[in-house]
Amino acid sequence: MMNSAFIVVIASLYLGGLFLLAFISDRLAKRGQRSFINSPVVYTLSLAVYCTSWTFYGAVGTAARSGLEFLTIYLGPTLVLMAWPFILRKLVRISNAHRITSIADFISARYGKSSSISVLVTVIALIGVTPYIALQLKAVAASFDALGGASEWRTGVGAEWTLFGDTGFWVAVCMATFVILFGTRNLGADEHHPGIVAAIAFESLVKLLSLAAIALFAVYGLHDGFADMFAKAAANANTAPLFGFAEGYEARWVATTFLSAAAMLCLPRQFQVAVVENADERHLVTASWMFPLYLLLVSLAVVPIAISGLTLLPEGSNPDLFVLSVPLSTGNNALALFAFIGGLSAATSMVIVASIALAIMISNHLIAPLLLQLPFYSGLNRGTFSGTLLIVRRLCIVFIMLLGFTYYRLTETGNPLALIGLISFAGVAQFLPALIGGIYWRNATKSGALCGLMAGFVLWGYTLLAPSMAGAGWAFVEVTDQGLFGQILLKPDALFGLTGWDPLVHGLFWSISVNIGLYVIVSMFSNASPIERLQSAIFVDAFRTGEGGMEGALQRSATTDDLLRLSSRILGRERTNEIFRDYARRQGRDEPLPLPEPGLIAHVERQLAGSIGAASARTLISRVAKGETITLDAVISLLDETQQAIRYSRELERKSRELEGTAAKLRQANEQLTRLDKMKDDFLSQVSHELRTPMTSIRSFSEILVNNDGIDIQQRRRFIEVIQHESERLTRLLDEILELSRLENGQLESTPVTTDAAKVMRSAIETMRGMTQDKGVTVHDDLGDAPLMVTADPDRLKQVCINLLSNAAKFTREKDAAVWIGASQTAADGIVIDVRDNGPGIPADTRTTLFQKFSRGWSSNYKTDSGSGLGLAISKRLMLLMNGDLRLTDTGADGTCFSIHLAPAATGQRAAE
Amino acid sequence: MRSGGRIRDLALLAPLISLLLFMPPYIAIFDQPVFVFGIPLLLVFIFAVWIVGIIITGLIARRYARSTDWPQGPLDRPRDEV
Repeated sequence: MMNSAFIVVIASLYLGGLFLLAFISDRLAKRGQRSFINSPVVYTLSLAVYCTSWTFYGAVGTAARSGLEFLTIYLGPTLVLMAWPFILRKLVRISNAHRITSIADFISARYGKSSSISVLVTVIALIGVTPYIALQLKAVAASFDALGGASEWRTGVGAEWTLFGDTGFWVAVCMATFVILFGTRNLGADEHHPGIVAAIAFESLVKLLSLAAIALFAVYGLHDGFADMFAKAAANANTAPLFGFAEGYEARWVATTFLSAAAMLCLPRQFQVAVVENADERHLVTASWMFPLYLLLVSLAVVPIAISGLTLLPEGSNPDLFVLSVPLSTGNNALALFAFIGGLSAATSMVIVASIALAIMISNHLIAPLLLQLPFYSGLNRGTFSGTLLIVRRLCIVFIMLLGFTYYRLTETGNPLALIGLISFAGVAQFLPALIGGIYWRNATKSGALCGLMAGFVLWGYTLLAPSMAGAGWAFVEVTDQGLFGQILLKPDALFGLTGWDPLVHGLFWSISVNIGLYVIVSMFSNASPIERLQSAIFVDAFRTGEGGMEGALQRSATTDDLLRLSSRILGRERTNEIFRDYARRQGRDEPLPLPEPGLIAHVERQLAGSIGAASARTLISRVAKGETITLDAVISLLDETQQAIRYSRELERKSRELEGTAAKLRQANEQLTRLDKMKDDFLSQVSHELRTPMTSIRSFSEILVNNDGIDIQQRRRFIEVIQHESERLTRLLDEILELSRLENGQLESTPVTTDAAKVMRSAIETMRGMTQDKGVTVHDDLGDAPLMVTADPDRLKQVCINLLSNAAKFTREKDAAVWIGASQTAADGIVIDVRDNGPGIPADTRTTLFQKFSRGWSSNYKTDSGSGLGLAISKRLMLLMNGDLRLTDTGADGTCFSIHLAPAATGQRAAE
Repeated sequence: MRSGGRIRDLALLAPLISLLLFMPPYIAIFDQPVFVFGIPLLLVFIFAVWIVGIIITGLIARRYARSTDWPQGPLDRPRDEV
């Protein structure tokens, strides 16, 4: 036995060291040096807040009392961590993206940011966890008394009890101070508490080392190694449960494994360290094997301590204190003190994290919504809320400690540690259906979650909490003995006549099955509101959508000013300015104020949610934002579209490289087709336009002839001549179109022979003689005497010459009209024949389209002119067909000149002629 | 099948198989009065499955981490206000 003052000094030193560690970590984090705290090992160790004094003292107790069952408490979390890609990672991803502050916030955000759900979850958590906190205080007090000479489990609470003489009280005060100092320092961007995480990680290390030291002492100090220990154990009947299963162990084995797995996710403190405090999703990769390893080591240490306690200590010793009494029994005080420190660290780490998680939940979901209703806070221009919230949070911590302490004082009769722990587990396990269903089942609704949670909570209270209180003689004794209203069928530990079951299995069976049943059935038969559907899609598709990608789809409007004022009130001016400046920069603006787009509203809402929870944030934002009411159809179609888009883009991603090549080819082909199609369309519309002019005149003249008998023969004849003339024009036009089409399809073939271009030109002049003389155009033949030998089809060449001559004659000046035909032959250009007129020239804007079909743009009197507009197009193509060219060489106020280019014929061919 | 899909299946299979082995009736098979180096067979079995599960989970997690995409690191998270 030790001097209690000495123990107090050591414990104070340890706690002081903890404060220092938290302080230093906070300072480092503030300066941005997070590399130490932000490591996967620290994350893993912080998860080990799972191992409370229940583990430290209670696991050995359970092992001694009921054998291997203690293992299930560590197998459950092991399996949860092994399945990290499917559960924890999704929870972390969603929480980080939407700044979730607690498990109540998470579940409420999933079901349409419902405040009723957040309140219910907070209340369940508070009722479920308070006994657990009481348990920690009790464990510290009891271990202190055991170590300090007060010899046994409960005698520390003697007749001369005073508040200040109670170890539990001082532990509670100490923890409240710690949490207030490091847990409510400020309202940060998110609920990250580097100081606390560092402290509990350190505590996890201490408790593991402490337990391992005692275990090693038990194996090698008290026995000669494992074989010796097990040999001695085999001789002792008390250790039999550690060697094999008792009859009918199965139901409890499965139930406790399930409970521990659920607790790993649903306990507010586990959710806090595993999800809310997680700074990097990648830490899960390490934690997935390191945390199970931690649990394995803890479990390994439990066995030797339990065996030693059972075989070496006198019969009737409290198994819950074996961890202390085993070293004490051999007078090893230093080791016993180390064990005490280990137990203290296990208890304090749990109290710290549980109280901060609960304080966040109570202040955000119970108190903040009420405060924000007050006139003082509801106006836009009123006082800031951030300071108030911090004070509220501190008060909540004091309240929770007080509650835990009161519970500890009231239920001094001892249920074994494990029982209180398991009942707590069963309470928070009621969150599991809503939590897991929420991230995987799209159609789960708020009503379903509410009904399931409510029913599970009520049944848990009735079948587990009430009998445990009755067992302690505290309350509900009558109900437990005789059933509610005296109905034996409603007896809490044998509901509907289910007798003979283990009480824990019985209570868990009823609460969880009714919880899941109502959750599923009510969800199926209730309708989700638009916001529920939206949140459902965001949560279920967490890995497929970007951060808040869909939230921006809510078409709301608010002024930047209102948002700014709201945000300053909740988050403080400094942080608000930072948020708005960052967003403005993201919008690419130089000014510090962003544009009030829906994305900004969603962003601000998320920031607010990071401080006061999703439900309150939504309430606040909806006070300043308008137009949030969107129809159900709009959301459904929005989500469907998003779903389809997501599916499509994933498909694309998979095949993108392969598709890209094909797509490029297709695009090319498509462009070409479009171009061709447009050309065809243009051509067709031009053709029909050209055909309509002669057709109209033919029709109108023939109608006159048919309808009027009294026309004299002279006029009749003139009309018929017009009809004939127009028919000829029509025929010519059709011939030309046909020819052009043949030319373009490459069906027209020329038969090139060596021929004299000058001779061809002269023959063309002769042919056109009639027309030129009619118009009074003088044709000057400057071709010269020398033959211009070329390789060409003479008929086609003549056609081109006639076309050029007729154009020149048509468009030349009316007075002193003249056309000049010239020729030249150079080595560079080959043979060139010029046809020049002295007309008014071709307008600049039509020069480029001159050789296209139906161009005829320069003709000012084209209505009277009989040309089809195809002449130059055909001529150009004919020349190209003969490997020559037709060019516009000069045009201006005093005339236009077209020139035919042809290559001179080879001398050999010339000789052959 | 692509390796990303296979590693995902493996990641699901490891906890499922561990769960089956930890649950009755599998676990009951090893509930025998047999001792391995003086240690009860049941304890040896449970801890063996446990440690093998941890090793396999670690190996799969490393592969899985490479085959999946992660969100932006902690750097883009806004710092706590000072």
